[in-house]
Amino acid sequence: MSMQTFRRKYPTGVNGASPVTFRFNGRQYGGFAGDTLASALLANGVHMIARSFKYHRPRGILGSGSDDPAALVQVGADPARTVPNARATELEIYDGLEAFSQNCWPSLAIDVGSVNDAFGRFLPAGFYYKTFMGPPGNWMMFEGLIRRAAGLGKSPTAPDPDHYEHVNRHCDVLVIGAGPAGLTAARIAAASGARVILAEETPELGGRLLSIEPSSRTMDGQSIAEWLQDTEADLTRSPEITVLKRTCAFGYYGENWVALVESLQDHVPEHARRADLPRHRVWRVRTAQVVLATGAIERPLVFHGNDRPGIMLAGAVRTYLHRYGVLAGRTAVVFTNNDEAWTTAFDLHAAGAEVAAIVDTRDEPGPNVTAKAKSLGIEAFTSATIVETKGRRRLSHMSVMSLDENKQLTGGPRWLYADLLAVSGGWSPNVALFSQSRGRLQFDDTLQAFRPERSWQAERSAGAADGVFDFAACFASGLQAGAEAAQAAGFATDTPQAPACSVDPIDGESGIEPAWDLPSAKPPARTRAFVDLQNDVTSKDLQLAVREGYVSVEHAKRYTTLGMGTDQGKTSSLNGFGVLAGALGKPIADVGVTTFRPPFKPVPFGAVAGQHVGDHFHPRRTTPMHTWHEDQGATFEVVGDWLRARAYPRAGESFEDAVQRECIAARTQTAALDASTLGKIDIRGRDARTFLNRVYTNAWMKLAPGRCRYGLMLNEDGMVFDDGVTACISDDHFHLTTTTGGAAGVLSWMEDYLQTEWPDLDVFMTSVTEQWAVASICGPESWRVVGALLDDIDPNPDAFPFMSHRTGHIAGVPVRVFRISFTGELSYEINVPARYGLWLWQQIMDKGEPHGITPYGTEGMHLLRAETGFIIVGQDTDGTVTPYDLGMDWIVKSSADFIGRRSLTRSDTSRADRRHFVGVLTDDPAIVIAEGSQVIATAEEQDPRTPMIGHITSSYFSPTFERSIALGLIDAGRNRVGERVYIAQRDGEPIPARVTQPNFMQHFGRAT
Amino acid sequence: MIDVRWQSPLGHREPLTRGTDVAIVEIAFMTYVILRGQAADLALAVGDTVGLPLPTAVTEANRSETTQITWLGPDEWVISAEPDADEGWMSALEPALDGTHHQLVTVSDQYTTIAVSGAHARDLLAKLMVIDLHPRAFGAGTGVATVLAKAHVWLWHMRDDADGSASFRIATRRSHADYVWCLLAESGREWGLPPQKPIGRVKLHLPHFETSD
Amino acid sequence: MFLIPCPFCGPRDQSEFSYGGEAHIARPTEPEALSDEDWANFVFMRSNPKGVFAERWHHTAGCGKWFNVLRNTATDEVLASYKTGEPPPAVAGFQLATPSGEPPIGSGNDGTKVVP
Repeated sequence: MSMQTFRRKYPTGVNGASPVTFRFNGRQYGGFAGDTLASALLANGVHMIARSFKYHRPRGILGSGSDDPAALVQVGADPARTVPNARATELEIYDGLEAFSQNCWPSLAIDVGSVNDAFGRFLPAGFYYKTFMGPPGNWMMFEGLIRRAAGLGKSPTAPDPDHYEHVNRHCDVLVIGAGPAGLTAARIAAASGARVILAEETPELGGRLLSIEPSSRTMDGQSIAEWLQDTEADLTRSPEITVLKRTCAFGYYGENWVALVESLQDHVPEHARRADLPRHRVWRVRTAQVVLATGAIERPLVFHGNDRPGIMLAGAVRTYLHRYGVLAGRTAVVFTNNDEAWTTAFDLHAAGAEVAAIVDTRDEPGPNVTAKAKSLGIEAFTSATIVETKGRRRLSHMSVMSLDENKQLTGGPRWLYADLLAVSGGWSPNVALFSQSRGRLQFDDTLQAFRPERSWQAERSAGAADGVFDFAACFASGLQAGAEAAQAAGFATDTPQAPACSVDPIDGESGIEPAWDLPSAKPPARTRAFVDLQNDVTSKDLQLAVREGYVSVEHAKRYTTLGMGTDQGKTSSLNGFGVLAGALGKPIADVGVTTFRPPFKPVPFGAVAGQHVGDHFHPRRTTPMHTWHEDQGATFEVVGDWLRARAYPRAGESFEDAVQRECIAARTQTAALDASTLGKIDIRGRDARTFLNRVYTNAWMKLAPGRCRYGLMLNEDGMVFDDGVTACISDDHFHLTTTTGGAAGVLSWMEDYLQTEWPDLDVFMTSVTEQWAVASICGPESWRVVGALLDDIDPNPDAFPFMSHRTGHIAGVPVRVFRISFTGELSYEINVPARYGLWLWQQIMDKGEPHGITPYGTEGMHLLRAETGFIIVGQDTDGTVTPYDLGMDWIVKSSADFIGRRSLTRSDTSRADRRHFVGVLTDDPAIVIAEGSQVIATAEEQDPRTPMIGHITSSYFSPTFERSIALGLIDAGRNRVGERVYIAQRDGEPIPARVTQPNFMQHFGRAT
Repeated sequence: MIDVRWQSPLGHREPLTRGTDVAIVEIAFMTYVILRGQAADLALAVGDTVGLPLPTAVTEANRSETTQITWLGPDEWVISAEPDADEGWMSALEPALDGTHHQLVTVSDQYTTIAVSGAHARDLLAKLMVIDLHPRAFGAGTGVATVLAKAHVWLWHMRDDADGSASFRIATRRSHADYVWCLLAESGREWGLPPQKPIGRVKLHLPHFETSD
Repeated sequence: MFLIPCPFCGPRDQSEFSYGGEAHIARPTEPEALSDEDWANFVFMRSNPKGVFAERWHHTAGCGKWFNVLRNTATDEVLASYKTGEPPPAVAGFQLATPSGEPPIGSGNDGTKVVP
């Protein structure tokens, strides 16, 4: 195991008493609990982490959190649990952690893909677009190469064994970020009694307070560590606060709906992970008020050779030093355009590192920092820039040149030797969530960054997120935001009292001067000044984009892929806008920003899906008889979420054979179908009849109590959308049935008309779909079975006529029986309260046994009705079919208006050549046409294409007629009865067939 | 009185419970009756027969020991009763409403009831429900029609106990009951509830597709 | 996810509702008296403004009532809700421009997320 030779001390961020061993690229290293992979590797002197996306250049650690663009690793080798593109700067180490570099082969050190780098000038901005737009062969040629060469980590390949969940939460104040501003905001809001959620992205509360010299400040006389401990304890005591660590707010949506993702187990050694806890949890928070205390993100500087491992953000260097006790290098140079970064040089110096120099692009850095540098004996170059860096896999030296008054290079280079270059181009308020919330930004010249200007939703930014950088002001800003948020949510707060914070004279000083694109000593063709370290976008690429006409920031982003990686340009976007502004000769404010979109950082798919996956993805509705069907080995189909038994194949019997057997039983003896899924609506009121008369195409004013009628419903466009039988129970009481899939839609549609168009009608409707279990018994012998079942109804068809209903009892259980038929056979539908459904079914099977009763499924039901030419809405109709198209003129009343009536006489719906519903019989009776097949008029292929004159909607092998039958929609089909048509085949000759009318019972002379 | 011929939608499930954290149990065969009409037309008859005032606003639920009437909409209520309650009002209400425009429909078989209780009952429900369950927003003695994952449900907050545990009841459509039950169990895993396999994960006949389940 | 203020139940999550298209399109009382074109206008034609839009929602999982909502389609802001049959309320202080200052037509997304 290599020694942690760069570890200086054990501050609060890591637990020195708790050593951890892990492996990186197969090699074992040591770290401590609390370390990230980045801090632990830095402690071991490892800087190079990965290869870049396009040029395969070595990539090191730039930042110290979710901002880092390129220190991406693959975690674990388990094909089910491996995580690609994990940020080494966020990944907490644990015993047994295995991480690997990405995008390199055969190894991180020797990578074949890095030849891309040598040919970099052949891979300019817009390379992919240009390749696509070139001669057609180009993409084919390049694709394989590009797919192998470019890319990030590898997705898991095995099913995810972990579980995830969503939690919905409502609160009064959501505070995002637990730095100095977020902590004070949460504390005062929680003290008001408001419901507060505090979400912190990292494992510790404190934010930037953890990244400064612990002894450099006191708050209310306490050390930083003591103050944080007290604050956390205080927060935990509040009954209405939820403090979420390792929780990132990744999406800010409408009406203050904010999505957070919490990582619960990824930091725990695998053997200690709990099966009862989700791996990640998404909190879906609806909140009255939001406080955005999301801090700020430091920007690097854009200069030739700025991407070498060992070049880090100045603030990150301080975080590694103070939070993790790790010196990121032995000899350091600090390169900046602002005062704040000079602190990094001072802190490194104090920690025992050698500071070779501070290089500042400005003429006159602030007096406080220059005086301190002088007192520490640190050499400072002003009006200077770094023009080149050297070192294989790790920085070793760099050259500095002076800048003249026009910020152009002057004089000769001077070489500086250092293994660490801490850079800072200034801090940008982290406005991603603010901008997602549709707040409007403003470019702040003092910060040289965008900051929140005008809120759109009920939120307020605080602390560094609002451009406030000195600690005392951050506390005050957080307190004010927290108090205002609580008050706006209706809670009274104490008078805000910010902690008395000791002052550091450098606090809040910046004096930043813009330095977006620093001059290079190399000719342009050989200059590599990176803006986006993940996607390998250089300042040259952005300038090329502008020259090629991509002058909108959104277009330039897509053309160059700036900020399009997994980091979404956290460190690169503003530098990119600065470079674009320079190329366009416009101020940055006029260039604008690209749209900030969710997610703020990558969210695992498992977390997005939550608990709604696999068996729990979608309800499967089952009938009261379901277990019986399953026990009988039924195969099922899904209809409107319902599972319906489709057929009951016996042992050794095929599905098709089972359907034939079931249909023969229905035609010759008796058979029973579970029809419980049909939609049922109880309709009550003195205007119920009038209402039915308006929603159905046929007449309902004279239907007598005890009678039933089939009805068709149209949409206002005249197209059939549902059908069913409705029974008149009494003059003001009806029982309406719908198709299985249409039940909810029909009720909602009828309520719509009732409530919005005809509120004067006295009608109430209530769904009773599942109140009743329904068994349909059909076949010539069915009346015998029904007679054996019923206590008090005479099933004799003469006494109980077709299209009527009765109430009665089976063994004392109240039932409703309907004499209706969908198969053309004698049929009875028995309705019982659903709790008796299974019992009823068993009774039917028992009492029906002497009569050869056979359970039949929906496939048999479909076949039987096709033999009689009955439609199935949704199978034979598709929203383009009128009752006339179906040949159902008889169901269209002329006496009164109904929904869709006027559309039936529109010029298009009254055309004679519309597609008609007809029967189709193949010449070869053994051929069963595939449903959905196209119907053509001639067998010869025509140029340019053979016209399609219709399609097959239903097709079966009919046991009754011992041949195939089909139904379909064919242009002017009724005029073609008897004519020849062909059924087009994907492979093979068209099938010859003839058009018939759709009722095969009549066609074959078996009229019912 | 339970008839052996009766079958409840969750008859195949055993109560799930773990200490005082959370418990889920089916209350089978409760009575549910939907009442539609104008409040002014109904209030007197309901008061006389059911013995409870008609609720007038959302989340209102008026309750006696065995019977409860809950506001579902401006012209819709559900009257519910415990499984073994005397249902005398059922036969009395329809005649009492004679002559008014109303609808009275028994839907006891369309629904079943799941009781969710325990110290984490609210946390568990929050994983599946979008309404605000906090006592400030949804206090004890209230009820509401809302969604639970993809199912429409009625939810009642029955009571809060001194020990911090809360009791809720969910009425779900019979055919959604198992889906709801299994999601509740899944969401209770962190408090030790065992994962449940939903019924209906059966063989489908899809001749044109390879099926995976 | 919207929060929709049901006139009967108060603000509720969008997942309890279903959408019903443009409001205030009354069904003609005498359809047969209409020309094909006028009838087609009623059946098929709907406006699609950028800005205030009166639309119908159904509280499917709640009270079951259809009602109307005034929504700014450019921002998804729900400005008012009212019962079926009521006229749309006047919306006070409403500005067509979106928070990002977009123009009334077109996405106008470019460079407008920033105050100049």
